[in-house]
Amino acid sequence: MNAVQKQHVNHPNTWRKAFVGTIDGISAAAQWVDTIATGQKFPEQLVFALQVCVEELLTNVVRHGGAKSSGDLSDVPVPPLDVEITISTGAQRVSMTVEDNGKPFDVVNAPAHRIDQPLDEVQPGGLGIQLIRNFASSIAYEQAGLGNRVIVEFLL
Amino acid sequence: MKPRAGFQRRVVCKVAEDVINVDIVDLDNGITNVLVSGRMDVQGALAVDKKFSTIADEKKKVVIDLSQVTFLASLGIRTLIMSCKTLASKGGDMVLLNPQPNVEKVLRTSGVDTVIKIVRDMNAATAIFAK
Repeated sequence: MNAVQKQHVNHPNTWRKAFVGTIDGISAAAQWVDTIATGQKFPEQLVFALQVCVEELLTNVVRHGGAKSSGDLSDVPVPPLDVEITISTGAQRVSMTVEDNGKPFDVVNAPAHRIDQPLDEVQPGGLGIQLIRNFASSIAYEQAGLGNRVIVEFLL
Repeated sequence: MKPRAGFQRRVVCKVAEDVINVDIVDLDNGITNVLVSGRMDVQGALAVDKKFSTIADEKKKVVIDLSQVTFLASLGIRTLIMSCKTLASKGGDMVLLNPQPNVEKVLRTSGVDTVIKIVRDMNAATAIFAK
């Protein structure tokens, strides 16, 4: 049994792990998700979609979740936020739940932006939310658990 | 990388990081080829941001070879966009060369392809700069 398998909780197809809301935490979470996804032999596109969503969701937490954070990644809150990720697999879908104790942020109703203006007018922002909505099959938000809870689902 | 016929190349700089590498080569037709290898995730984007800024300040016709990039996050997109804006502001341009399918999906989903052209080979990139 490897380190990832030990994260099983209550159900053989559920994995849960806590991370800190830092840049290193984002990378650790992405690696953990990748290990599970490849270990379960998910299709390559699903592995990539999970990577996109965990990366963008946690980047939002790190950039905007802290009470004193300005959104600059060099100005992350101290102490860092708590993040917990749960991955569950079913017969036809995979769900990933990301909880954090940061400021309330409704990723479902937050503005998402696709670049559709001339280059000199482009302000990169909201692209992460756009990516999450396109790479996940569904997305839901509620204030529960640690504070914010986002559930993204993917069809197998 | 093997040198392409017709091009002489001079290695200008190589930056190595844990998750990403950037090889910068000036070609004798005035084009700068930037081969990026690895993940342009949060860590990767932060690692190469200053290097891309320097490239945008110093070069004019820049090809970003994405064929060895396995992941692209929104922060990596920001790095590409900001560099392209700097280039465009002084009459330069940037094209993206041969991204992997998943990375290309990120580029098209976010609309990057509407402001930075995506090409399949260096000849197509050269043709764009010649316009």
